[in-house]
Amino acid sequence: MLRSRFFVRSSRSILLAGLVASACAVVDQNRREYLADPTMQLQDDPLEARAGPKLWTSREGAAGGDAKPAGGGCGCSN
Amino acid sequence: MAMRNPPVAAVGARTEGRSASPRWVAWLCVLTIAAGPAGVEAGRPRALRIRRPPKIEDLWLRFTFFDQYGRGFQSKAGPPRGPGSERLIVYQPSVMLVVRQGNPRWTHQIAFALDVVSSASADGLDAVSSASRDNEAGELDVVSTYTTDAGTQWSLRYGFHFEEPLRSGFFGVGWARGFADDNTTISYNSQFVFDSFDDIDPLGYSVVEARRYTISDNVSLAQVLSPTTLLGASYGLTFQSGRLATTWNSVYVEDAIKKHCPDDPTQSSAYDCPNRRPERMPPTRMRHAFSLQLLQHAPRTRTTAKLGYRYYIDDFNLRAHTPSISLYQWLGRRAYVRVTYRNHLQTGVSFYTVGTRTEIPEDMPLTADSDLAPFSAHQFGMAAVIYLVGPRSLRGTQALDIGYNRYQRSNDLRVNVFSIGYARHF
Repeated sequence: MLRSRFFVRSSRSILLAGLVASACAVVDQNRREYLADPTMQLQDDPLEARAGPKLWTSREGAAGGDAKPAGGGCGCSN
Repeated sequence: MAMRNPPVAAVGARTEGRSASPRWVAWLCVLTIAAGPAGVEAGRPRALRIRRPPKIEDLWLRFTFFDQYGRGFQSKAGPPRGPGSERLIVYQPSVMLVVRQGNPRWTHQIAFALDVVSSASADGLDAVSSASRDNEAGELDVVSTYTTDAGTQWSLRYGFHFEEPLRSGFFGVGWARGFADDNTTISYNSQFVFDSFDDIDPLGYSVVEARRYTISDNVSLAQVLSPTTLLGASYGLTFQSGRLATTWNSVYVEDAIKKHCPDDPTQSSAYDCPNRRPERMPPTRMRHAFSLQLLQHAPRTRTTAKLGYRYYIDDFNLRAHTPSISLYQWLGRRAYVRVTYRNHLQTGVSFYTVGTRTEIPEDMPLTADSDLAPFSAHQFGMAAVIYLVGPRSLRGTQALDIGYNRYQRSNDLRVNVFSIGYARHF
């Protein structure tokens, strides 16, 4: 019960932060050239983004989150 | 490497926009959000109505090699009291395609990875099982995305994973939506993972089949802060239940030697004697992870800095802080290099031990898994990405990258990771 409340609160906070932050956005489409630079992506190559964290999800006890599922598939308990 | 066209000198073509207009722009954005779907991305619907034959839009190929050395107290590949070897080599070829369906609202991202693993578990299991030597694992992961008139994206994620002692399937749904002229993107996804595996004990015997269930919910935000600054944030909740232990992991119990191996007190190997008990985990685990990323581009030097921080906490009393930094530097128009550093500091679970003197009651959790121990890890990496110039007949953008990472842990684990990748946007 406590944990689901925690999840709801965290989700609400992120949604609220997103809505508030978007109200401050002032960057027009024609001023986003640098944001389109290949180095300015939140995620690099999608296959690299899968292979790299494999080390962390299989060898660190703190996997999970990061918009990816944890705990399944690797044959280990992490 | 992100599959975008390299910027053309990334400078001269820049269109100077209006300077930030303070109050009325903010009000306009709020009204835009309030207006909902009809106000967003007005140009998209018509393009999405045009039907074309299915087309491969992107292709990625990657080969990754993991070379691991180390010792851990859960492994039997060593003296009875441990620690045992964690030597491991993994060859991982993988491929990913993005296919746009005839109905252009649908795209499918299809990824397949194959792992060829040597010594996946303690070598001692090979006496009765081949689960630990030259094991192969494969995974198919498909994300099908539907884009609505308003630019909202709905996605389905499904696939399976197999390896010798384990079969796994997963299914999930996702939602993503841009707000305020795509200055803000909020996304949510929920996934269910079902694992079924052979319950191989530390002696290598498998009597029953075990199961594990995982539900994961994630919400994330990407926010444009300025023409050169981007912020990302996410929160993930993961709940697991079932058999959470790595079933062949073991814990040294001193009493067990007296009880089961009285005639061989000088044994030199942990393989033959049941002086170790299987690790035991609680039946459920709840995990929370928060992460932040800040990206800043410096147009003058064509440098990008990516700062990250992640905080993790779960009900095994494990907490972790993970700061990271990546620096990207363009070298000319068609190549850039990347250097990264990541530090991971974790407290370890409350029931971690390297061994016990006496037997622990059956209902108490116990593990000697070095991955669940307190430790700090440092990772250094470097990579180079080159955009290739092909013959005119080859349309689209091509890129080649090569990288190396060194991962080193305070509790005796070292991993070298080499990778080479190719990407093509058609």
